[in-house]
Amino acid sequence: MVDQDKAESFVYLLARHERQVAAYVLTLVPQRADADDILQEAKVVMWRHFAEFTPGTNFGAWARKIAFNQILTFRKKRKRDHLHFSEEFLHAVADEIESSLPSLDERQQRLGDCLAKLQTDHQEIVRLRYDEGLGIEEVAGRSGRTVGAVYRLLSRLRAQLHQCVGRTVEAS
Amino acid sequence: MNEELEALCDKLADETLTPEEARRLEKLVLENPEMRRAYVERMHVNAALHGESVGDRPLADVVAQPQRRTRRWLLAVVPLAAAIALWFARPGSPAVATLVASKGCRWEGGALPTEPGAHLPAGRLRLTEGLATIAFASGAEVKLEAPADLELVSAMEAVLHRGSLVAHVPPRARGFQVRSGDTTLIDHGTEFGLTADGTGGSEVRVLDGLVEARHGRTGEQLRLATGEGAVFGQEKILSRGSMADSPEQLLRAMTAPTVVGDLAVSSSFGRGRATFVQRNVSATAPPVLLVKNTQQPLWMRKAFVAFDMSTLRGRPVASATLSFALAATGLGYASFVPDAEFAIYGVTDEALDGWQETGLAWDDAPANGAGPADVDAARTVRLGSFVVPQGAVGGTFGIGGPELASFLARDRDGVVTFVLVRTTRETRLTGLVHGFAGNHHPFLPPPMLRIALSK
Repeated sequence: MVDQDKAESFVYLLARHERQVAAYVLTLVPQRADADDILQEAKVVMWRHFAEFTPGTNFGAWARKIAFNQILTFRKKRKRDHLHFSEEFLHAVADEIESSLPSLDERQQRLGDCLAKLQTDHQEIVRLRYDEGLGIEEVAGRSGRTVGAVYRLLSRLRAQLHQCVGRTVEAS
Repeated sequence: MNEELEALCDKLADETLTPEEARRLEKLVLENPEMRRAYVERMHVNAALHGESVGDRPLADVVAQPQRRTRRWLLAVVPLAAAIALWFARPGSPAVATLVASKGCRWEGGALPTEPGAHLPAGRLRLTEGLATIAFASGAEVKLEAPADLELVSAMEAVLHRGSLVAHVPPRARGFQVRSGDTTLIDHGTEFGLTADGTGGSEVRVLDGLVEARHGRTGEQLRLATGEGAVFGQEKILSRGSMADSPEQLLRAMTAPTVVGDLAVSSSFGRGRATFVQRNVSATAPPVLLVKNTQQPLWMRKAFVAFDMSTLRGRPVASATLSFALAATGLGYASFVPDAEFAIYGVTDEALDGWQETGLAWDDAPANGAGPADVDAARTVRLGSFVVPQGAVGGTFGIGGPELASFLARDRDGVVTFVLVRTTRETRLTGLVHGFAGNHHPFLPPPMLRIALSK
């Protein structure tokens, strides 16, 4: 029974923090495929070390720590020329995330509403790029736009969403 | 804001940043706290946009990994961990009832208020062990007997999906309703017992007072007084009688697999099998059969179930039902999947009945088709469909009808194979992955075939 409870609480805690941890990893590693691998490995490590997690303490913080270590591990496995950023940079960004976390969580929650405010064909572009994970050229092909237009549009939409989540956070 | 930072963030998000630009971006961010903040905010929006669809992988992949220092109990825990059904009380919803007492109760899920005195909002309560007393705000009191699945609708209404309860309804709560399948019981100040078999059948026994019963399908109505009982089928009211003749519930006996004339076969019996397929994933003894309809080829999932028909021994099939116990998966958002229709196909090409449960690959699955709900039409027959309401986390779902019965009657090799697909596609890519208990679920029943034989 105790073991069952342990497994239950792991699944429960992970489900509750999954979106936050995913956003954390992707902020530090915006390359989607890499982030996906890191996230999966991090979850495995969390499960393996779950015995060391103290119930009642902050699971999110514990999970982010493991995810961050997993990012560093992942980095070391890759060739030097593949790396975009230094370890120092990752630490600085991770610290920044930790200190602005409550507001980042709120922004993440508002994102759905902000997406709903976009015009329909723009929602479709976001969907193709982010939900389906398509590359820019595929998005261009599927939406009947030029590659250049998709780059410009995505840039504009991200700026718009960035403004929208920021505004609603301040307003609330 | 800084245009250079914005442009670099865009390139990073689009994955077109050059090493030189990366160094420039790094310098900006490291040297200036404001830039750092702006950078995190921008990249976090980008991350959150991705984040909803990244990480949608079976939790089974995670928990199938041994946990440190605890390998011994692993075998017991892995199926459970992957199979946990989570019950989330909707925050802010008003309490419709209070849990006043519990005896040896074990509830499914971790978020349930299980302390006596806990306020219960509208929602599903699933009791796997014990006896729980629930007081509705109206004054009606229900004793729930495990294993049971009760849905609290309002202070005056509940739905018994499975299991037994005894309801005590004081005069002030007159009109209290309990539904089960297509049957509605309206209480006129009484005490009554109700048992539901999870596939639409139920039985009521009036212990004291008067109960009005209505069958939704036929419109039949009954008034049952103290000492009377009735059995309700999916299609109609089956019987009515006096408790003096049969003091124990008839229903359990009626649906028990050992009764002559009735046959219940689970997919874990004999040559039975149950698994799901997903491209790039090979499932072994999955506790939960994952089913998903999505446009993303890698996340499509379908379930395959086989039953060993040897106990039928060629006897003629009069009618049959095939049922699955819904099991929450914790994968994906229910918000992005409306009420979901599932279709069940029977595999007619018996040469395909010998498929391997362990590590069944997408391409090897019997009569599998390329799309998320496709099957090979030449080698299958569509037997029926059922709908899982949006937000449902439990209950039994399945099909009956003449197509299923005649499919079973045509079996020649003693094994029947079914394919379960979701025909409803998610509205956004991060939609819920539905799950049904497989042969290795720790507490939910495996897929079940119930057969009534011709007399």
